[in-house]
Amino acid sequence: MRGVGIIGAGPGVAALHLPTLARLAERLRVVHLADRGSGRAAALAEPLGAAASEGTAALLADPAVEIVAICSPPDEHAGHILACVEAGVRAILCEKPLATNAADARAVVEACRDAGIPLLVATNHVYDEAWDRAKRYLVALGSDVRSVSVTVALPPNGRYHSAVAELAPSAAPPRGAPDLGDPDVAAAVVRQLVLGLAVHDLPAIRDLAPDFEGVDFAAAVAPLGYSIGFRSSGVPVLLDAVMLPDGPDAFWRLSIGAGADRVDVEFPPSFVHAGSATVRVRSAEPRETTYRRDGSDGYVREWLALAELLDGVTAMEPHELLDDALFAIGLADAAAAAIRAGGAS
Amino acid sequence: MTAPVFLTGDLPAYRVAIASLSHSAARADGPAGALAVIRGDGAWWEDARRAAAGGAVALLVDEPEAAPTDVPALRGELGVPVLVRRPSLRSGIVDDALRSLDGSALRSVVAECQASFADAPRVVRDAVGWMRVLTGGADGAPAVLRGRPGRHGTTARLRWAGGVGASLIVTLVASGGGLLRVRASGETALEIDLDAPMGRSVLGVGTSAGWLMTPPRHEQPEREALRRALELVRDGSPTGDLAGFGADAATAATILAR
Repeated sequence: MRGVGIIGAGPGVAALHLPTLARLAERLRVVHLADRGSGRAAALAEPLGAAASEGTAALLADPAVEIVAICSPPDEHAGHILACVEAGVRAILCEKPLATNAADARAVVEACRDAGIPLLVATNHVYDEAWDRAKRYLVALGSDVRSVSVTVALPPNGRYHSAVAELAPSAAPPRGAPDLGDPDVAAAVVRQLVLGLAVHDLPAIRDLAPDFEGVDFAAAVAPLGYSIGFRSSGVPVLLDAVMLPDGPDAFWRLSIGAGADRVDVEFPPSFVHAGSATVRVRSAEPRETTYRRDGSDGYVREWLALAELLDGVTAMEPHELLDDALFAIGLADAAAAAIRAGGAS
Repeated sequence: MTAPVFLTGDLPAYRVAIASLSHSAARADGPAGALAVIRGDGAWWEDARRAAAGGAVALLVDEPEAAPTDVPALRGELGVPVLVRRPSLRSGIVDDALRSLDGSALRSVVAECQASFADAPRVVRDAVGWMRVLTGGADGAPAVLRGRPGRHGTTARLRWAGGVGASLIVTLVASGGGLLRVRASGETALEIDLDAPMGRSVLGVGTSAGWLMTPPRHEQPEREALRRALELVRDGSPTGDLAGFGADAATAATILAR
């Protein structure tokens, strides 16, 4: 049994990592939660019999903490990783993104590599069994990847939070919609969304088309979203996402044009544990095949992957981690620059 | 009352359609006073010119392959209403889609096309047509931000004045293809999935209450097109079919240009 400390106590912890770790109770146990003084960590820790603290010092000094999950705001990830390395923790799971700029990404990967500390970025889609299945299919096909698109439409997260947790009502007032007509605002919003939302699939896209070439267009989508066309390794890629105040069930489809086939990977909503994504192949014959879904999901499998790293079953690939991070940051920066240069949308 | 319908060339599906619209349509021997159905292959506009000059009261162009260089000039020259049947932009499905929205605004539209090199202009043209009708913008040419076309495809971002933006990805394949899928997201969402080789033509309508798959349209497409044309001619309603076709074709050419 390994002790897990969690930095952060927001919905991503309460509705995602705690319910996930509860499914892995034979291997992992939450022993410490830390927040920045909101008191949420104590409220989450109490029913678990875990410790709670403010800031990171007490958590990192807690001998029961072997693994640290970093679930703080994105621009704090790098600092928290370095603090973990300094404290000599055994392993780190960092919520996406790894870092928000290239220098930080290099620094944290180098620090973990030099210290021999396994680091995993929680890009749950690439840990989904369905993605393995899709990759195997593409490899068998000779990986003739011709296009990639990711289309996302998300209703409010609360719909899914309530399916897995009982969250305390938020004391924070709802945020107003950003002024996407202002190119600087739109650019900042899209950059943040690339690193927070599109990043789910960017490691998968980099698997298929590793060499980022440039953004052809980028637009902010109201009320909150983006549409980005870019090229990587000669492959056209389209990312389109919108977060809606209401609407149908969450929709998240990664679609790959490979040879004359179309491979669709449809992911279940975030937060819930509904098994793997669905893989559907429309092949040239023409024929359509839907593969069976796996009972496990990317959230559970990313934690298991970290446990395997820690157990020495698998080895961390620092260059892959870094290249994934640099790919995401490069895309985010290029999309933001395109919006600033060309207007908001 | 039956309206005369003149078929220019071999159009067996329209012979069947006329027979199955026996109270509305009757085959005519010439274009004078008739609705003339024009085969869409090759330079169909030459047949259209002849039919209009011969006194046709309206034209229905069936599945046009190409677009003339100057569609506005052609419209003026023909001087009669011109309807266009586009298999991947079937008017009945378009009507169903717009009706399903029931005034709900869409926030984003994405079209995914897979087509052979030869078929890409048609598939992309119809994808643009879907984007045009769903985004709710003004008629006319959209602003186009186009990706750099590669060997196997391209992307583009379109925005019509007053409408929401729409994005497109095109995958080019050596043969086969002809797939068009459109996802329109909003509080009410639509997915149009057109896969002719698989015989699939599906419109899904999603809300927080779930997804509704609209019933298949069992009416033969040519019959639907002919019936619509007869109704428009009878009612004297204007049609933007040819203008839309021309604009979509021009936009598709811009997207696919190397």
